[in-house]
Amino acid sequence: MTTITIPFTGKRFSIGTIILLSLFVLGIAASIFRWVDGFSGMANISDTRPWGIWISFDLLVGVAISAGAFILAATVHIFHIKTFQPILRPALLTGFLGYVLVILSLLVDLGQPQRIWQMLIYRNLHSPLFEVGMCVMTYTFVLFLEFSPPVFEKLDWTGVLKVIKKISIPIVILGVVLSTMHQSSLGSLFLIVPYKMYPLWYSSLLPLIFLVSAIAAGFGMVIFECSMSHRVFGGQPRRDVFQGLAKGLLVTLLLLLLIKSIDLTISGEWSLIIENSLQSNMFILENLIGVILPIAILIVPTFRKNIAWIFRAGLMTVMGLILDRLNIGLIGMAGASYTPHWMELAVTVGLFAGGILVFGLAMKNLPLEVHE
Amino acid sequence: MESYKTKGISRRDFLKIFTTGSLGLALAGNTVGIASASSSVLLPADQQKALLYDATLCSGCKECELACKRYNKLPDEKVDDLTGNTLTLIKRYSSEDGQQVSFRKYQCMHCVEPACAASCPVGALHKLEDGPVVYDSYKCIGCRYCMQACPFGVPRYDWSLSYPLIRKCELCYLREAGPACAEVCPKQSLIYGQRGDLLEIAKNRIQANPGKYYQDRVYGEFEAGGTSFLILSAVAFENLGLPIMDDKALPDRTQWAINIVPLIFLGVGGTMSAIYKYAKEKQSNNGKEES
Repeated sequence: MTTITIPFTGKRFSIGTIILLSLFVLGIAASIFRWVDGFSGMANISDTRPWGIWISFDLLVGVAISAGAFILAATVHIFHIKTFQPILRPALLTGFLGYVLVILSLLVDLGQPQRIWQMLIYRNLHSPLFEVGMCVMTYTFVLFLEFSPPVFEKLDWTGVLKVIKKISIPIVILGVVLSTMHQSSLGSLFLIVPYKMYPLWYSSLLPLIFLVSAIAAGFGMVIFECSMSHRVFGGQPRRDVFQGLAKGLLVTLLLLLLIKSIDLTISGEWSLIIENSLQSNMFILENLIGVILPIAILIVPTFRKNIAWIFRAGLMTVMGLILDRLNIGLIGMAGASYTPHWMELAVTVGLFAGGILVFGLAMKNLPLEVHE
Repeated sequence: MESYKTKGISRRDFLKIFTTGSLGLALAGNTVGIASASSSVLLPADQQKALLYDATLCSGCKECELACKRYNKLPDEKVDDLTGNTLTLIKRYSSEDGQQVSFRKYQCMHCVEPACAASCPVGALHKLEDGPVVYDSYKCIGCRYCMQACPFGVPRYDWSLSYPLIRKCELCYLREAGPACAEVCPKQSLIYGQRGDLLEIAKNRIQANPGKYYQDRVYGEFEAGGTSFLILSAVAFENLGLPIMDDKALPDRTQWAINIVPLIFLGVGGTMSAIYKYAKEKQSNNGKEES
């Protein structure tokens, strides 16, 4: 791998690390710009487009693709399906990092980030956003506990380890409960905008659609991460792991297709799909990439056993989910026309780059491989 | 004590603790919910403070805009939409052939069941007992969910600040004589009073002038559960940029999803505990008990 030696320190970094580091620094710079100078010079959100890329991508996509952590924890610890044991720790780590990134991006997005904790004292129990906020806060801590054993193993804190092991099952169950709640509540957020959201996306079933699509994307993301980590960190990809994930993904996608079909039938909106507007075409694109094509691949038994095809199906599901959340948050939402300012993108990309760097550091320094 | 416990019992204990714990949590959640809902009992909608705006009587003099700026100490600005510094605005609409001209007063509609208040996670926006939808700035975290939720595009942000807050019309709820805008209106175009009385006045005007008012009805009587800013117009409501909505209050569309949260908590938690127990037993029966 190409490396660059940093002058004076003599440390060597790969080109990839340098790029990620620069993106991260740029993102931090853009965030500081927002905290010092406000939104007006660095973001294109406005009175009639109050939620931009930070909500649609960082929050909606970020939470959904981090669903892999609770799915795998449940499969291994609750369903006792041990196939996924080897990839559980890396998945928990990405989940935890994902939620930390979500919270960091909210600290950029909120007008009063220093008051984020006030949700604990001024509670509006009728607001889905209150539920999302509380669940995300609690679940981030739960994910830390779920992920923490390798950290304490490294530190050799056996006392703490023992306590965490003892409460591990209730913690996993709590994680599943909290995830079900907030993954669906992110969909409930939009139940209140029936006159602003394009009818192809607006549905009373939004909470359910958000939950099921997040589970699909969670599987897709874990497949993607497994493939990438084999490429970056070496090691043989485990066929049984991939095939298990493929099966889970297929079942979830079929369920998602069923729910979306029922929804369009009940609301009588099938005809809207062919009206050839930007929205209807984006709706076709998102479902083609994110639902139909992955199903078409995985339903073929030979493809379902082939790691390369499983990877493609997983990647498509994740891309479809990204499109879906951007459609719901931006393209399908009435408001001023909006293209993110480059500094808005810098925050989003920079945080993501920072997440990859921390993940790489953790993979190198923590005992994440489970030895059986 | 510890040594007497077999693995099976401690697991059962855990299940018991989990179920009672979650049940307790759910009950506590419900009690808090009921308490918070009952702590602010609203007056019946027809006794709430309201404004009636008759667009056919409005001459577009903009005295109301100026009065609003004076009372709220806001700077002058030339804008064609509400902003953080313009909480009410008179806009002129004309049909394509220029034959039909109408004004419309933009401001907070003070909904009977406001979407902004239902969506605000910290309850910074809330409805006072007698109607006005007001804002406690010290609670606000700046999430802009209210701006997204409001179908009328009323809550605005103070974008010039690094740490912006929401700005909106609060129906001059601290002002003894009622809204400053209504007080200065030289015609009977904008009148202040109780919602029930104003609806009666509006209906009398419709009855006295057959065919004058669009659809012979008052905008805001039923729209999205009703508003306390009522509009009479000769021009089609949609031509004045008013959203066409059914009678269902917007918070009602979210409420069911909130109501099932305790059920999800118990249902998912219980199911997961049961599956855990079942899978574990099945595994030990298979003789594959692992550490």
